[in-house]
Amino acid sequence: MIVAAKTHTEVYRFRPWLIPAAVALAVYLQTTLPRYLGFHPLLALFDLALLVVVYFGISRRNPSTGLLLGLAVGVIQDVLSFQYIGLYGMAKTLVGFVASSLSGRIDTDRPHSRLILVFLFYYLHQFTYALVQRLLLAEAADFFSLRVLEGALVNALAGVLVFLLLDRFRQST
Amino acid sequence: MRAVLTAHRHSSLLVAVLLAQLFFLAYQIKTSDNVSLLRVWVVAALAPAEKGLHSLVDGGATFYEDYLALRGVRQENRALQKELEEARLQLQQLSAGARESERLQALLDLKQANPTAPLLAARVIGANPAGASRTVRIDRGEDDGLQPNMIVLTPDGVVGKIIAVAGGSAEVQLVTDSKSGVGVEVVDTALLGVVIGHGDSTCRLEYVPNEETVSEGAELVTSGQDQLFPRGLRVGRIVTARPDKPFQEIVVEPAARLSRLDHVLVLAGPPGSWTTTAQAGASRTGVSR
Repeated sequence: MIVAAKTHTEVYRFRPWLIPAAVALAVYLQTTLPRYLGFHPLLALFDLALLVVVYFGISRRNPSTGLLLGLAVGVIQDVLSFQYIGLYGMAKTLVGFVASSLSGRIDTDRPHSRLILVFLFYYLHQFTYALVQRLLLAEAADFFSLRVLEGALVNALAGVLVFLLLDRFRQST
Repeated sequence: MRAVLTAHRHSSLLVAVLLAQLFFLAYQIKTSDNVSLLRVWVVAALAPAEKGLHSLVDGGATFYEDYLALRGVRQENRALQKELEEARLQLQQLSAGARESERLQALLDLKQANPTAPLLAARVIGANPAGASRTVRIDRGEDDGLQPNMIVLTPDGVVGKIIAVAGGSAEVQLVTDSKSGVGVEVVDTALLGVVIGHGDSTCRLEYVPNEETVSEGAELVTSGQDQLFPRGLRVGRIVTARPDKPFQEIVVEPAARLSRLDHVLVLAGPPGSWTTTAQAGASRTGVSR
C-alpha cells in the first residue's frame, strides 16, 4: 500500500506567495467558517491548517522547513482561537517535522498513501494536543476516542481532495 | 557538541522549538495560586541546588566553628586551668590571711579595751593532746616575763593557765585538761561552781546541788574566788544538765575555740592586775561579769 520511495526523491517547489496564502486561507476558513455556516458537528472536525502543514511538509521534504511551517501555522491558530499560545503550535510543529522526515521514505503522491498519512498525522496531532492539555493544563483530554476517529476519517478524506487542489500549484525541481 | 548539533540539525531544531513553546506555555499558564507554571518549574529545579549549596555553606561554617577555630582552645584551656588553680591557691592564702587578721584584730581590740592590763600576745606553736592531758605550747617564756599560773585567754574566753615556763616558750594547761579547775558562776543566777576539764573537748560544772536550777545554754564566767582567774572572764556555756549523785552532772562547752588556737593573750601581770582593769573595761569589751 505504501510504496517504498523511488530512487529519485521529488522535492516540489511552490511560488513564493502560495505557502503564506494557503496558510492564511486555511486558518481563516478554520476560524470563520463555523461562525457563518453554523456550528455543524462535522465542520468542527475539519483541521484545514493541519492539512496545509502536512501537504507542504511532505512536498518540501525538509524537516526544518516542515517544523517551522507547523510552528507558524499552530501559533497563528492559537492566537485566533484565543487559547494559550503553543497548544496547537507544539502539535503542528511535531506533525510538520514528522511529515517532512517521512516523506523522503514514503510515496506521498498516491491518493491512498495520502489518505493513510493524513489519518495517522491527525492522530499524532490530537495525541500531542491532548498530552499538553493533560500535563500543563491538568484538563481531561482523550487520547483515543470515537470523536478522534471521526476527525481522522473526515480529515483523511478531505485531505485527499485538498492535496489534489494544491497539486495544481506545485512545480517539480 | 557542535558536530552533534550539525549532524542532527533537524532534530536539534525540533527540540529547541518544542522547548521554547513549552516554556512559553508554562509562562502563560497560571496555577491555582496564580503563579505561572514557569516560575513553579524554575523554583522546583533550583530548589535542590539551593538546598545543596546552603547545606554546603552551613556544613563548612559548622566545620570551621567546631574544629578549625578550636585548634588553640586546648592550649588556652590548659593555661586557663593553671591560672585558675593559681588564683584558688592565692584565694586560700588570702582567706587564711584574712582570718588571721580578724583574730589578731580581736586580740588587739581586747588589749586596747584594757590598756592598763599587762596582756602579752603569744603564738601557739605546739599541742599535746595525750590521753586526758590537754596542753599547748606558746612562743613566749621566761625571757618575756612569763611565770607559772599566769592566765591565758582569747577574745572568745579563757584558754587556761601556764603550768611550765622555759626560756622562750611556756606550757599552757587548757581548761579541758582533767587537772584543770576554774571557779565560775552562772551569769543569770550567780550560782557558784567549779569547771573541771574532762580530758576531751568538754568540761564539767561540778558541785552544783541537784535542787539548784540550771538552764541549758546558760553562760559561765570566772567567779574570781579561786584567786587565780580574774572575775568576769567568759569560760563557757552549759550544754546539758541532769540530776546525779551527789551533785548535778552538767556538761560545759568552752567559750574559747581550743581546737583552733593560733594566737593567744597572756595576762602577764599578777592575778589581781586584771581585776580592777577588767571591771573598768568590761563594759567596753563586753566581757561578761
